Amino acid sequence: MPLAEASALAQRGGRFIALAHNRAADLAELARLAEKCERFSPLVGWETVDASTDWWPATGPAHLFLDITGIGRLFGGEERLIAEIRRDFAREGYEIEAGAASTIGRAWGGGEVQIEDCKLQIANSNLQSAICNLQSKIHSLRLPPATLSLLAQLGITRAEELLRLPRESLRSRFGERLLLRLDQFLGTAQETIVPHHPPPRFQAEWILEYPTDSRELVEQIVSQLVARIAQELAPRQEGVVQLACRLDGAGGKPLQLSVGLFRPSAQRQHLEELLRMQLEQAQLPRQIGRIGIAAQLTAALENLQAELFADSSREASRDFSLLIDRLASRLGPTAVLQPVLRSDPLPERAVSYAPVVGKKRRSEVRGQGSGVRSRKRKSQIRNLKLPADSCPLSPDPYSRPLFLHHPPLLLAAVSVVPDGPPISFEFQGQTHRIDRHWGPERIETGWWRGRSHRRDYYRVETITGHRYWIFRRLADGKWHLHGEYA
Amino acid sequence: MPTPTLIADLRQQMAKLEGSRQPEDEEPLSTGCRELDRLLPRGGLARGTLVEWLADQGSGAGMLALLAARQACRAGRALVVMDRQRSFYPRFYPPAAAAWGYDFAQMLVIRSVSEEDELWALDQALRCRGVGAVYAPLLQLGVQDFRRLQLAAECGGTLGLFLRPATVRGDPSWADLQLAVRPRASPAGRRLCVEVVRCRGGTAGRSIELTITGTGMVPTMSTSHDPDRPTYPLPATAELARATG
Repeated sequence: MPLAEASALAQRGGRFIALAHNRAADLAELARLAEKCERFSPLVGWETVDASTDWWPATGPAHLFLDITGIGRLFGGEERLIAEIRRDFAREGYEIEAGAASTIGRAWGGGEVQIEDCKLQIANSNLQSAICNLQSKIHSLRLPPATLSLLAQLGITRAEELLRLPRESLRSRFGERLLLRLDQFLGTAQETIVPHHPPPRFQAEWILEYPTDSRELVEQIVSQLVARIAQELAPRQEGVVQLACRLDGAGGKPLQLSVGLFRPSAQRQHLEELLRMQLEQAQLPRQIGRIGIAAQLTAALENLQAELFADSSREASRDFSLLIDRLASRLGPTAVLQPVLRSDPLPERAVSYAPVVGKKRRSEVRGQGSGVRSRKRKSQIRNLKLPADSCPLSPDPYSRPLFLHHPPLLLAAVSVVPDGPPISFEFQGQTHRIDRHWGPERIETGWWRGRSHRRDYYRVETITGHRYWIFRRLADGKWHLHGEYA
Repeated sequence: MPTPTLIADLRQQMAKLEGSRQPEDEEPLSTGCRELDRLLPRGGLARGTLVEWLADQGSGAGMLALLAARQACRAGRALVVMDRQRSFYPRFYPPAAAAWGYDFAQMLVIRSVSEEDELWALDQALRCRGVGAVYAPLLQLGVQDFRRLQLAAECGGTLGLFLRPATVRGDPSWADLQLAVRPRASPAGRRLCVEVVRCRGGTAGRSIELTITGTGMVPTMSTSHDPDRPTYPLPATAELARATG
């Protein structure tokens, strides 16, 4: 339903709030729900959305897939399991559609058909029931709306009608996706659940017989656990990129520490030092009974060859990555950043910061299936490249100041003509007389991006030679100091 | 009668005594302007030392320091920028650096919250051999912390560029070089007066006027040595002894 239609309908009812779709928040919530579902299934995932195609949920993934093979009997049958899941979600205020079947395609159909039938369908694994499920509407295949409307125009409303048509003509008319969905529905095409986060492959745990409060003992255990993980990793030529440590105490929240690394490492001393830096600052829970460490993200180690003549530049780059790890461990990953230019006219939004630790860089991700490691690895520092959407700035190096006030500071400025350039302004109790100015440079933001900003920027030089970047807000004519050419 | 060779010998001995322990044969780093380099004892900035830029906000010292940092970050070394949130003090804005041709792939911005964390991070960055220069606006800096940072820079062979308010002039300092930058009103281009306030092993008190154009720095005029100022800085060691005593 378009927004205009919805608001017209809702105006009769009273209050109406429209919020912009936040895809990232949606995904985060789905991830939280997926984690919640882990008590029902060891493997929880959601549909993979291929951004390049017009795949149907334009708003992003909206379905959770649970592998419940052999789980049903633990809850007294699949129906009860689903009822339990339903109750669990209802407690959070979610009303869900659920279906269970031997393939993802059929389970999805079961869940979607529910919207109309309002009863639970559980298809058995034999083909017979699949055929009888084909009675179900064409909507139970996961198809884009365009295909569905085309099928409706042709008078095809049931899945079995599709099966009677020759496959070749289906392919040429509707493309590969329809056949794929049909096969996935019937179970002839394989579909796997992509787990929403891969379970950590390297973990070590220590359960204490008697809970302890001793910091020394905890540090000792942590160092042993790190050694265990490092020992497992080293022969596989893999290193930790993200390391998590969890200390469970008696009552209260467990202490969770996370260490992100700039470059994969399997060095025991280095990992230990990073964890200890956080342990020192943290307040340990009382009566610690369990300590667990997991390498949540690993990547291939850089091969080091012994060299007769030390290459100082390589050593320097290695030193630099150790520095980044240390900084990120003590200050937090959000404090060690790399600027990224964005093509946004609003100065405060023209740059964003990306954390540099705790992620696999493209060169470190292994080629899927082939298992071949990317051997071409230039200097690690150089691997951090600007994204393609960064915009080139204007050729005038003085177009932007080197230091920016955030938020802009309110000023009292005087201009001779209304809406004209300023001749003096007052800042921190001092009057600055303006000798020269450049501008105005008008910066406006699009109305579709929330609160609109309309500003006239002036680059000014005072009679003492100091340079500032000030603007007049066009909405109310108030002057602000935004930057300084320091 | 002192011969020129004797004086040169003595000068070298003194430089060894008070100077940093960096190798003599290392090429000095240019500040980006040959005339400014000529005012400095080794014909440029030395790796492993600290440089203080004394200036008010909006005076252009930050840009000069950034140009100097570019020279130190050649050959794949990284630039570390300390960017701590302070009230009424603006924050570093990378797009301006990008307009001057900086590559973000070699830039690291540290946004620490507390002053203590910032000093620790500064120390760590200066100590790292993979870092070419550390760029930091610092308002207050204790003498002991200053000495710690100087030793760290010496250890890592990095160039520390500290932007400091003009009011700290005359305070004890462990920087090898202290430059005061004052803007000048000029009808064309951006004109800055750079004065060598103190300089280890060199002549202090000299100043130069530069005009910054889109391509670089051009000297406008230079004034000669001011005889009222001491040639060598007063050692900060005495101040440190007083502080610790």
